[in-house]
Amino acid sequence: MSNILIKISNVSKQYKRGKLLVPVLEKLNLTIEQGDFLALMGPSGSGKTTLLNLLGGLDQPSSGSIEIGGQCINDFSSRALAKWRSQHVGFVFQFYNLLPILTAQKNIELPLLLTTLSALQRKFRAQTALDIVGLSERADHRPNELSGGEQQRVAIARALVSDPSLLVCDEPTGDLDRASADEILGLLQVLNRDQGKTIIMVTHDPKAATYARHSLFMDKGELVSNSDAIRKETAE
Amino acid sequence: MKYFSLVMASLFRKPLRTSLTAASLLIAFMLFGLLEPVVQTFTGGVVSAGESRLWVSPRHSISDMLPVRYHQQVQQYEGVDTAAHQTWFGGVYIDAATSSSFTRWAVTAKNFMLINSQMVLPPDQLDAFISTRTGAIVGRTTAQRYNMQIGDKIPITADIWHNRDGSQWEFDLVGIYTSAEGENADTSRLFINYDFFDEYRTVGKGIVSNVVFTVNDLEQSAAIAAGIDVMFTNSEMETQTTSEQEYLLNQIKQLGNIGLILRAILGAVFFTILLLTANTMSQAVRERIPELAVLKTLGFYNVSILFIVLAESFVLALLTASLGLGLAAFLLQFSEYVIPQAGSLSLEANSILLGLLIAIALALLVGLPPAIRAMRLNIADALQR
Repeated sequence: MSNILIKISNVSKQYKRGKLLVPVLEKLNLTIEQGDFLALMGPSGSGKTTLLNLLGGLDQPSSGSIEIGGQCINDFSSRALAKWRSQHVGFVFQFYNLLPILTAQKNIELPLLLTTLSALQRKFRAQTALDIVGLSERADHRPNELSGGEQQRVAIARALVSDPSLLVCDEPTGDLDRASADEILGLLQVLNRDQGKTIIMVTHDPKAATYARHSLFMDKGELVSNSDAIRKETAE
Repeated sequence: MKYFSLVMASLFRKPLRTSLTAASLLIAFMLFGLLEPVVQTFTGGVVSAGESRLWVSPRHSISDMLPVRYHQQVQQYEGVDTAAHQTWFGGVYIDAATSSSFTRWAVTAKNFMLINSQMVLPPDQLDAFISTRTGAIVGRTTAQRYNMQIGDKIPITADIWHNRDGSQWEFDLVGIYTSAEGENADTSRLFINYDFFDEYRTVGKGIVSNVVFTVNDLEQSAAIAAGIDVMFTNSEMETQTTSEQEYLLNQIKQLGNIGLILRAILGAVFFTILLLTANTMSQAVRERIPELAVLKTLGFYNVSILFIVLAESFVLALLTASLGLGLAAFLLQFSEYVIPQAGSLSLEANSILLGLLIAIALALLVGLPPAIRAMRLNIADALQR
């Protein structure tokens, strides 16, 4: 039984570079089911991150519609989109993007500042999230006191803490060694499998993609079939 | 309130830079706190002197002197209530530095005290001043500074007016006056009896610096002043009669517009601090663009980002202003030891309010441009940096 979470219809995105309009995505159509773990692959400049930004509500399409959880988010105002992000999407970045001035726990509490939770409730939730990623003993450490893998775990905990249905990960293992990368990917897999989080992950790493349930390939702003992509990779 | 820890953490992201900026702001506000009461004193002294006292002075130069008989002529002029005269005595008390901390005048004791009703002297001390030829009275500030007690001998070495018995004068301290005009009023001067002074000085007998008088009807002040100057036209020393306020203003103007000079200095200080702080704040926000983009990614509203950045400059400005003004208030307790003529200076509520308003304006000027820039950040672009 299909349970569609994301539906993208005829989405195009152009960026203005001086007087030129540079097309990045061309009439893209895509559906993603609830609970899917999708790896988005493709060469640099293919539009993966742009698509990810649109799905995460960080950017708006030039045309077309993006429906997530039954809501057409491209109609949202900037304020409504911010609120929607805080409630429905968790973000994981390649370079972790933790605030260096805050401890791991305070970083994880950041999304909860937007809620009506008390300081004690925020603390409790942050500790729970740290437990899930296996870093409860590192709560008071600042990012520069943590390894890359640990920082990414903290970033995942921050993405999880407000219990979003969708996790958007932009090359989450791009800055990690193999062992740390495997740990992070395993953690994402657990979150997808055990907690039912829908995960969309941009990656250049074919091994990372094997952790996902599905992989999609992009080239020049379009989704291409798996076989096309493999043929192209081989030709290159 | 829940964003406060975030604001403080952001502010002290680079502790050394923030501390240096805070130190420069603190010094600027302390300077403001120290100079503002001085400005107020110059302004306040002129205004509080009162319109009812009129001063007859030599028309052409403050170094000229008036014949003492002018005193009687002024006293007898129609509409004049009480007239007194005063003469700059000068001299050296202990040494030059000590002497510069208070001025010394020879006066007609009874009338002078009648005219200067703001000077408060206990009746027995007033009687002693009037009846003791060698008597002297001194203000509270100077008495406290030099630990002068009633009954002390006050030795003064002449520099202009030599004593016929030599250069040393000696007076008996018979009174210590305070001021009814409050703590900030001048209580530094020392007064001696003119008659004794005139009898013993070797030169210049029978001349005085000014004649000061009050009038029966304030409405007639201008007419009386003009009439007195007419009376002395073509006399041996023509006069210029002004209100005490105008006289003091003229004296101060000879030095320049002190208030304007001090405010110009403060303006330059704050302008420099404004540029430095604005630069620091902009740099701090530029460095944090990816972090601010993360906050927006997490769902912080644009306006929340604006207020978080703006709050940093407000915390910095208000904290340093409070500390700077507090430090100034503390240091001003010792002002009378540094500027005895200014009396005991203190930071008035309106000066504190002005300081805090400057802090708010400063916070807005330095915080608003980077805050608006942060608010307008495009998340996708900013995350790529």
